Amino acid sequence: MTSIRPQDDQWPSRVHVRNWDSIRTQMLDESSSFVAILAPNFEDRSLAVAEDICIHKNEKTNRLILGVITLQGKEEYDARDLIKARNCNRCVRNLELAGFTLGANLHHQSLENPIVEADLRQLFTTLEKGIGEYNLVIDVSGLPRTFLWRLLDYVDNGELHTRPGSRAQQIYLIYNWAESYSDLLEHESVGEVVDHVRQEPIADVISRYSSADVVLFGSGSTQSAFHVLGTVKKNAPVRDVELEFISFLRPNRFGLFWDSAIRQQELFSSTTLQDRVSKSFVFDEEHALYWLRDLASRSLDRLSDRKDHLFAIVPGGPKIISIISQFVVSEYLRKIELDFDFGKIGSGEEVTKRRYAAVGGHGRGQYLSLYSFGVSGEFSCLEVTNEA
Amino acid sequence: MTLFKACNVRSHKEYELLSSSGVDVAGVRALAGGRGSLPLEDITKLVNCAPQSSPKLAILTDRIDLAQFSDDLKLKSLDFLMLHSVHDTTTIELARKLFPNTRIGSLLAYEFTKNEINRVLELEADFFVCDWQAGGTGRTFNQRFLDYVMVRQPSAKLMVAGGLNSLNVEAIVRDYRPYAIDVDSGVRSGQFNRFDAKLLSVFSTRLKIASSDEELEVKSTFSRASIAPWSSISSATMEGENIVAKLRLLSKLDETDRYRNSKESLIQRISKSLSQLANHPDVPNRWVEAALVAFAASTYFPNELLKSSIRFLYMKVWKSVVEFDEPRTSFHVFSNDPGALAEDFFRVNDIHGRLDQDKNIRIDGVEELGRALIDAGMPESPLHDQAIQRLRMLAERKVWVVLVDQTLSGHSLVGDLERIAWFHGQIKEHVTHPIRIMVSAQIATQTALKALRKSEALDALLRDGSLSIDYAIGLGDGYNVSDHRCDLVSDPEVLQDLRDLSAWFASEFIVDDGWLGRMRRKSGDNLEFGYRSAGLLIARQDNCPTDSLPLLWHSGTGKAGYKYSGPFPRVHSRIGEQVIEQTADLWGTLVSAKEQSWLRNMSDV
Repeated sequence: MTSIRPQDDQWPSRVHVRNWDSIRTQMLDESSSFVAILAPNFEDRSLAVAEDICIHKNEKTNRLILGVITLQGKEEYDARDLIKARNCNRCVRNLELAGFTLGANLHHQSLENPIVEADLRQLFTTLEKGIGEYNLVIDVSGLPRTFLWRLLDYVDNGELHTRPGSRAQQIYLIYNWAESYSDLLEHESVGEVVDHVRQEPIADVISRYSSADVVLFGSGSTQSAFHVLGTVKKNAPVRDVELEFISFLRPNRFGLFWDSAIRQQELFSSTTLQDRVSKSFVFDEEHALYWLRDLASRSLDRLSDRKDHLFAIVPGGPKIISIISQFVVSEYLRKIELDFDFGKIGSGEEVTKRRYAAVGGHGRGQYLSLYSFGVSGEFSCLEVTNEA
Repeated sequence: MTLFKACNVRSHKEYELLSSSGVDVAGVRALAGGRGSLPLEDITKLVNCAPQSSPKLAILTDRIDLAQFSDDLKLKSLDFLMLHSVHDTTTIELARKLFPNTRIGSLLAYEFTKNEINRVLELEADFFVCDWQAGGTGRTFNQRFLDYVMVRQPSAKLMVAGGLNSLNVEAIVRDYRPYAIDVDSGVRSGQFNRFDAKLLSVFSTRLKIASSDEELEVKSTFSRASIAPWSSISSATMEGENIVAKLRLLSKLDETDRYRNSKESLIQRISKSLSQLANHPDVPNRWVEAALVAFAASTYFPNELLKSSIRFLYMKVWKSVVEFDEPRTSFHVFSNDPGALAEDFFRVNDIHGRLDQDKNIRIDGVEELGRALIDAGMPESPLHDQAIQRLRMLAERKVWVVLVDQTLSGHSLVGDLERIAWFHGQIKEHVTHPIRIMVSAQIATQTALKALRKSEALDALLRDGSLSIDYAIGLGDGYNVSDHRCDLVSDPEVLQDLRDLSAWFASEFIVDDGWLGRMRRKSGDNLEFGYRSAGLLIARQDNCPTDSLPLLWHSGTGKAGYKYSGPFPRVHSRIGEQVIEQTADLWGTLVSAKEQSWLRNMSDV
């Protein structure tokens, strides 16, 4: 099968690609309440959403609450923390100049990395004060992935409504693209690739299944792609492992991605796994979303024939792909819950939804992503249905 | 082996230093009026007392009275005589008589015009001294001059002088393989500008390394490495343009998905193309290098990438169809250039029933649309009812997809779109629903996108949202070799060489190629930078577009009888004129007011 199977009506879609301009217009309009979390980091693009809000704020912008958060390292400061703090100050000052009032509709909170649940609870208690149902906007451009995973889990578990009556109806994740990338970061060590839920190496997770479909995004660090390839090679002799290797390109930035894509595709030309590897390309985040759903759907077909099958995505970068992967896995698990007779494919208490899917991430808490640097550019926006 | 000549020896002590520094030839000056020269008696003493072994001695003179000069010197023998001011056969012959067993060199000044160069090269000198007329100025040699000389007379023995030093000696030896290198200020230092033993040693070593490569090329058992042009590519270009890395990546792509399933590897094809260029007497080494840079900078689109792009484009289409609350496969597909792409579009995306006439209208392209319109306007035509039926089905579709494999100059697409847009304009009064035209291109250049917006009709549709353009791979202006924003080549000189080579290539290989006549006329030039000066360096797995430089795709024999085959040889889909001209006639008839009788039948449609 080679097609994109368009969004199946029966597929429990939770995430959609939206146009940021129209969401921003709604946000800055007085008709509905919005809470926006901005997270200035050391990258230029992590300030882009705040700047965009400053530019487009108007007299109708009365129902928008902004939370500016900074994550600082637990240990001694490093250069990134200092630049982060500088950017955060700049962001708050610009928003004040644009007419937001610190303590009223603008809140600033410095958090310590790694984040703990109490911090999130405190943040939302502050932001939800005095509002009922609202839409939540999160600028994920510079948000560390570890924090983002916690936040998304928090959203998934329905723990956002910290005050009676407060509830995020729709969640919008905004991502700003950097327009050039640094060659210097190719060799950044990202540690072992781990399943972010189980917090154990993805190789160990795969080794517990008789078969697996592993989807690997070849974007980002070659090192992580190589690591996953090693994992699959290790498991391939005794397990039925199929690997889909996806390269990410952007229509308007073809040259920027192409060399890196070929280099990473080359990884596979020297392996003995040729017959187990399929290669494909995606051209934007929406394409990635539908292609991943298609792959998830195929994996479900395989799961229906076996008792012990895993669907794993190792997204690499850019970050928006990681977020999409997270939701596709969540949709995949939801589909199993809806459609599958667990008695046929598993046995007893072992059968839990987490059993059938994994999302890989980097073991290290904070690292410099290949996609972090460069002048800020276009926005991408994901709308997430808050099922909780 | 290139000889190492150190110039302007002023004392016996300096000569001794040269003898221990690997210098092959020591030069002394005997200029009229004595400017910077040794006295003649010192020269005589130096030459007559010099040992038989190296360094040998060379005298440079601008004296015209050679007989008197010979009498004054009273030399026992002399190895080299370099004539710096007289350039005629009589003088050369006289010098041979006066200085028997001496190699006679004639000046080939960098200031010479082409005619002067040609005339001097005809002299029967043993070697030619390439230098500035003033000599010893430290001014750098003239590379373009040397290129010209090499093209004009590749076998000429050149003694190259002018601003040489240990940094540029390797390149000059590798590029031109001169008979000798003449150096002066490049091996001197200090307040008194004396020969520097260290500089002499470094210069000598580098010259020998570069020369020994040349020797190895002849003797090596690795015969493949000695084949031109690989042996003559300069290190500076190899490094500066990242040739190795780029070729490696391209080769990897070609290995997994070989261009048109060729039996030869990409490197074999590139080697062949470069060798053919290098063998042509009009092509200097630097052009061969520029060709290599162009081949290495090419972008190769393998099938998997193109297949993925078809999926991406389909996603865009069905999202648009769904906006109209239509079933996902309810759209009509026009092909800009009817071929395999439409079939791939349906097959790759698992869209069934492509040939079902009740579901999909058999109007694949603009020409068929035109014919259907003509038939619809002629009730007596046997195809009238069928045409009405087909046009009715087309009008019912809310999304018309114009499928394009590549729009590079934009010319063909603009032509087709304007016709579709014209039909769209005629029909919209007769239908109640909006109709959106979607261009779905696998590859699009900025040039093509600009061309679309330049068309008033299309720009109006773009602005009101009736026309949209989606593409998977966008190529900016930096991909155009003829554009000042081109970033495919790092070194501006190499880029200029590539442009010069492209211009020459067109005059040598393209202008007389009968198959390309129509394309040249439509392009309005000789395809120096490909069709309509697109200046691209791209190739798809199935073919190479004419919008790429002909260097990449052309195969044929040039004016001088030399053959050439580019690394991505192209299969031309059109070598005649009839089809396009017929289509133009058809639409010319159609849009004329008199013939719009079919419009009266639009109520039927």
